[in-house]
Amino acid sequence: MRHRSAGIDALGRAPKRQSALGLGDIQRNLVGALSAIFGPTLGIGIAAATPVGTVIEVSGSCIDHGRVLKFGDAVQIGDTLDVPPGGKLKLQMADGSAISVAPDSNITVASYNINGSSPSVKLSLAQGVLRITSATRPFEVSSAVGTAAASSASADWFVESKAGSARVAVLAGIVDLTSNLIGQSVSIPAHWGARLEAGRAPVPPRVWNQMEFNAFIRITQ
Amino acid sequence: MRLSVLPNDPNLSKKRWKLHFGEAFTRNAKTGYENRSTRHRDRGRCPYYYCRIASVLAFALAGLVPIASNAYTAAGDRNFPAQLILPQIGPTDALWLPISTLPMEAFKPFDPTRQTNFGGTYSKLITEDLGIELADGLIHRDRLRASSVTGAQNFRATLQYEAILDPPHEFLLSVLLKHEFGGTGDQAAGSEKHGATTPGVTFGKGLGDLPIGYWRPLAITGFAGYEFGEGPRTNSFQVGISIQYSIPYLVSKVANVNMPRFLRGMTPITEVFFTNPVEHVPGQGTNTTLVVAPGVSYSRGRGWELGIEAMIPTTRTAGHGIGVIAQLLVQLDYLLPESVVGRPIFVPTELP
Repeated sequence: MRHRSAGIDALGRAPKRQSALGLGDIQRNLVGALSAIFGPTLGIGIAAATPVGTVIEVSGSCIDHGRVLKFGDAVQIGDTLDVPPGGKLKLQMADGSAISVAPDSNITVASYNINGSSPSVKLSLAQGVLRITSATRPFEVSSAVGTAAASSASADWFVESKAGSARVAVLAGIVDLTSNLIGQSVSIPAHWGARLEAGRAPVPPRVWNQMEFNAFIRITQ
Repeated sequence: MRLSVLPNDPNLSKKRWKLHFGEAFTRNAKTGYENRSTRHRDRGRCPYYYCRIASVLAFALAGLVPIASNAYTAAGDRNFPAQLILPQIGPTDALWLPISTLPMEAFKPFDPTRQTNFGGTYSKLITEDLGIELADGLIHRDRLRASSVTGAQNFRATLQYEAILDPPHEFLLSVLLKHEFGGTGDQAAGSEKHGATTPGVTFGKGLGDLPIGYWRPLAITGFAGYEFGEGPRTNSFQVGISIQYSIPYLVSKVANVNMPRFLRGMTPITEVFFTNPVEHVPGQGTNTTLVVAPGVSYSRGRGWELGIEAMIPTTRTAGHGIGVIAQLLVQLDYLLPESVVGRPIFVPTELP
């Protein structure tokens, strides 16, 4: 079990891994150093080292910065999780949210602020599919083309990131999908879905049939 | 406006409607008033059966909106906006509130000078592919030198099944069976005494899968049906087509075109509706009606949609006055997605 800070956006956390420094580690060190400098100035302080989530199911060689994940491992802010084709990963987050990562996905925990008056969660999905049962609002997942954010207190939704496009489908709750370039957004209610292509406005949402949902459910089970 | 349809006047010697085209119409049995035109002087002596044919056609045109309830639906990334004249191209969970007004030419007292329709259609999905529509409404008629009259339209029900859905090619096809329950409306206001049943086919095709650049937002929808009238009500063949250019599709699928925000929700659309009776009225040339309805639909993807179109008759039978039709669509599946109102009654099993 690793222990890192949580509850504050990328603050108060120093890498403890002894492996050679990769790009992710450099970023973590940089964030940690900046936090040490500016954190007290901002009055935020350094939170206790706390994981933001735990691996509750894993198969295949799912990797976090070169380390193969196993059941019970902690997930922390700044972690980048790679799920290989044929693998799968499920996380139980500290706020009660659950994240299922489909095969051939890459996800980064950018921030996980679940304390205080303005909680927010930010994940980055470079590619692949996530099923998220979110318990914090806003719960954001950004991709190369746009950002999906659960705007309801609880939501059950999928987000898919591909080269040049993203899709969001909602089983429960409401999720907003916003174009990075245009800034235009659409609200997607339960049982609806929408697509976003690079440099475009979001496609108006539409009702998804159960077959379409089942395709996502199947790969995130 | 040359088109007018008169309901039965209880004081008339013959219990029937009378249809007037252009300057020619029949002698009124009560007033004795007669048109000076002799161009179609034989019309007043046309057999009752033929008069019925024409009257049904004319009423279908005047009350086009409430008769043909409409909807939005989607095939892949193509959202087909709600149509205002043609039937919907697929079943859905929604509520439509159309209103239309059509000026009419009146020649004698009690002739309608304007007909206004207030409609309401509730569409409910039974399964994801099968839906039912229930429609009714009011007819309001302003009359020449007489008080206006308001009455109910005939109740209508439509069963529709989406038989083909091809998202990559933005294509869908549905079959429908519509029944108008004759005598359920107010005949004094123009509702038909006899019902009709219409089997038909609807389709929608977006051109987004074709390599045609800025023409990709184009889409075509269509309808073809055959109306079987009950009793003396005539049978007729009905065909409709719409051409639409979706700005939402343009900015989301084709190019990032810089334009004002409100334009991004616009879909210019032109609908054309054609009816042709099996039997023709002698002396009137063709009884075909052809209405062209150019307009625009606006949606911001928030569960509602507004459309407005002009109704331009292009045949003599259809008249030559310009009417207006507007419609508010409430997408119940968007606004109440987790209730039975916004979801199909029977939903396929979700994977655990």
